[in-house]
Amino acid sequence: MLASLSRGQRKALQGYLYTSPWTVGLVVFVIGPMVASLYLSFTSYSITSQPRFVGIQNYIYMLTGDELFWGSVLKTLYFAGGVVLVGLTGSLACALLLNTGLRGSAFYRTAFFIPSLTPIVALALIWAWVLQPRYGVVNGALAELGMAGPGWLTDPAWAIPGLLLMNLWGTIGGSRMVIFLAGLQGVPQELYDAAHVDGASGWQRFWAVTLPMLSPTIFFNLVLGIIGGLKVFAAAYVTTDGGPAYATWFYLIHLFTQAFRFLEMGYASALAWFFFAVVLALTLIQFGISRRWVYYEGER
Amino acid sequence: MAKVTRRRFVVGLGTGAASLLFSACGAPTPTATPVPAKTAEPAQRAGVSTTTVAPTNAPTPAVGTPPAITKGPMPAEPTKPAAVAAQPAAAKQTASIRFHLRPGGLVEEWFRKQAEAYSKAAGVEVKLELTPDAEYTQKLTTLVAAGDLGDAYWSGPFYVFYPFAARGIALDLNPLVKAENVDLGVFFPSVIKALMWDGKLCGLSYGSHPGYCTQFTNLDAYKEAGAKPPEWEWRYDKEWLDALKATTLDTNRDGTPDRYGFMFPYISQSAYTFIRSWGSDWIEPTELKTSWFTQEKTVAALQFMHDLVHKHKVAPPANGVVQNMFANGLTAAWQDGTWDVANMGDLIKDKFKWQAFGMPAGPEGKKGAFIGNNSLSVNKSSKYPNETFRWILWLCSKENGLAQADSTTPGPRFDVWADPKVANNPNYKDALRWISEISQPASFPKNARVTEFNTTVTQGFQAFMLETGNPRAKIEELNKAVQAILDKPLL
Repeated sequence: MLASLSRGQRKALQGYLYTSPWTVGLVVFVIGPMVASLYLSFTSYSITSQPRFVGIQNYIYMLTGDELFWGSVLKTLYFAGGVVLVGLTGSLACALLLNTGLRGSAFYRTAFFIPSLTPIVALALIWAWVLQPRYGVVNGALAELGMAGPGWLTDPAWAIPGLLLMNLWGTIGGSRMVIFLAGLQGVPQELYDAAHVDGASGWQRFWAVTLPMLSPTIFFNLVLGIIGGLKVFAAAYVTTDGGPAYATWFYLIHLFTQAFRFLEMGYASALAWFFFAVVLALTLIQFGISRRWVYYEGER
Repeated sequence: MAKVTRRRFVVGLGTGAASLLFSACGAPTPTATPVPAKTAEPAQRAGVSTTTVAPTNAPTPAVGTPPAITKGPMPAEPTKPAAVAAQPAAAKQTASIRFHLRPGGLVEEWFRKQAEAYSKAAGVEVKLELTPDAEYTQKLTTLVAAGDLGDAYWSGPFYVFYPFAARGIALDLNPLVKAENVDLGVFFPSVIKALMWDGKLCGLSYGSHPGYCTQFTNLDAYKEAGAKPPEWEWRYDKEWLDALKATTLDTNRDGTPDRYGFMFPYISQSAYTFIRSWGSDWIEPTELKTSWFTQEKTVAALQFMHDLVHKHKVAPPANGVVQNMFANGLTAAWQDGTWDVANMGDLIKDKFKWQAFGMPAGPEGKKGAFIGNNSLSVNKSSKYPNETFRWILWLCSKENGLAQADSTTPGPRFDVWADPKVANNPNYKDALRWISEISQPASFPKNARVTEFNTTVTQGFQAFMLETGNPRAKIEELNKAVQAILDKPLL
């Protein structure tokens, strides 16, 4: 049979066979479950019984009947907002500091990067101790300054800031900072020299040269930061489990709980697809807006 | 031969993959299996099969005189692992049983040893399939969906016990109990009742506890405060509260005690002890379809807990709880369960003298809590129901029940608790009365949505306890949320 194929056909077949492990994996383990979950989102399915088609009932319940849904959305937006604003600014600040050519910068880069290598569960468990109200390092330091530290992770008002602190410690010096650093090192020196000759101050050089030249990097980190912030799950799952009193009941905690604890797989699928749609829409909006503020050197 | 275009290749690949996927998705859900035939030889001694009791939620009994341990329905002869070895039929089997459980420490080690011993004695291989606690429910439900659940599985009230019982995944053990003349009278009746669903016996338990009914007490703190150690007849609102006030220490009078008199976990089960001791329940206990969180006595019990924190200031607020408060001397007493008796000594070492007592009685003299089982169930689709059932019996023997006392709660049998190893331990003295006569199966939703119910109650309870403005409004919210769960169809 192979003999009847032309040389070109045989080469093509060979190519397909080489790529087939990945292609089959993509279709069976990624696209397949996605299609299945899309179907399940229109069903009532508790895993232990057969799916029952309910139309858009799950989506209606999500938006109008689920008492925890909107709360989880707001809490997730609060967390993602904190991660993006403080995280992006912090990573950029660290990258700027490390880009000044100070002595031992290789050591600092490594030191800043190490926390991001800590597995999230280990990080969460350690921070649960660090933030412990009575014996924790943070409240101990605050007490030395004459301040009474809050019940991090145990007080509803402070639980999300506590998780933010935990997240930022692990991510500010991570890959986001490295990407900024790479972006900074790609800014042509002659632009700074020209600005210097024109009498620009350090702040003006940053505002008029660094930021515009860094805008593609900022955009990249912004898109990933928003997606990462919205995906908050593991730290809250390990330390607070959505509590106290639903204070850290983030969207993915809600989704996970519906799927794997309450066994409402149909409804959880609807939650997943809604999440996907929102993330996609946010990303598209960012791409739309990016034309106004992101500067690509090769473009006019 | 037709030309292989990219389009054809991708379409072919996609079709093949989709077929595979759909065939996998179409795996049969568990179907009814015929009731296992009576085995050639009874697994146990000749005895009287106990007729099982339909699930009831009897009101909690009033505090009474402690029963003598020998007064219970003591069996003439308890179930013994050795009995399995005496079965020639079983010994000839070459069955291989898959058993699901959680991994971890002494309990895992104990199961491994039991599996080896059982294999030698009965000629039946037992393969342990370990799944971490955090993934246990999803793993087992996924296996059910794939039609690949093993022969036996460990579970608990907040895991898959009720959903699997309600969906007929767990085999009704009653026919096997009768066929093999197993005497269920060796177990505490409330434990057996908690293993029932719609009249079916959906498992047996190798380790059970009578809920959050244990009060670990710092005897040194009590002595120092001039308070008597807790007594059985104490009431929450009288002697008990006085002791809490006496043992609460605020040396610098800044409003935050250095040591609280008491601490309770901010979870549903701890609140349930108070609710039942006030003579009420969280769900109407007969139909199991109506939330009772706004019942007068339920509200009074919750309000009492709220007052302990905000009015009397003898218990830490939810946002002031830290780990190991009791072991670190930050609270003079701690509401917990029998499962921690075995490990408490290692945790406290010689920091202070301690003892476990039972929790007090409510205003009307009632005590109450729920039964928590480490249940072992047989998959209805198992090819080896008899062998699996005997494996479960093996694990539920007296010897194994006693072994459990070394790491967690003792086995739920009269003969285990009558054994000197348990009976002579003062920390189990009150717990015996709870497990044998007080604690009853929890009232859980009729639609088997136990995990959803438990999560909602725990979060709602925390919100109530944190609220200082209008706590009653939080109870109303909790009642509404619970009712919404109870109104849902069967899980």
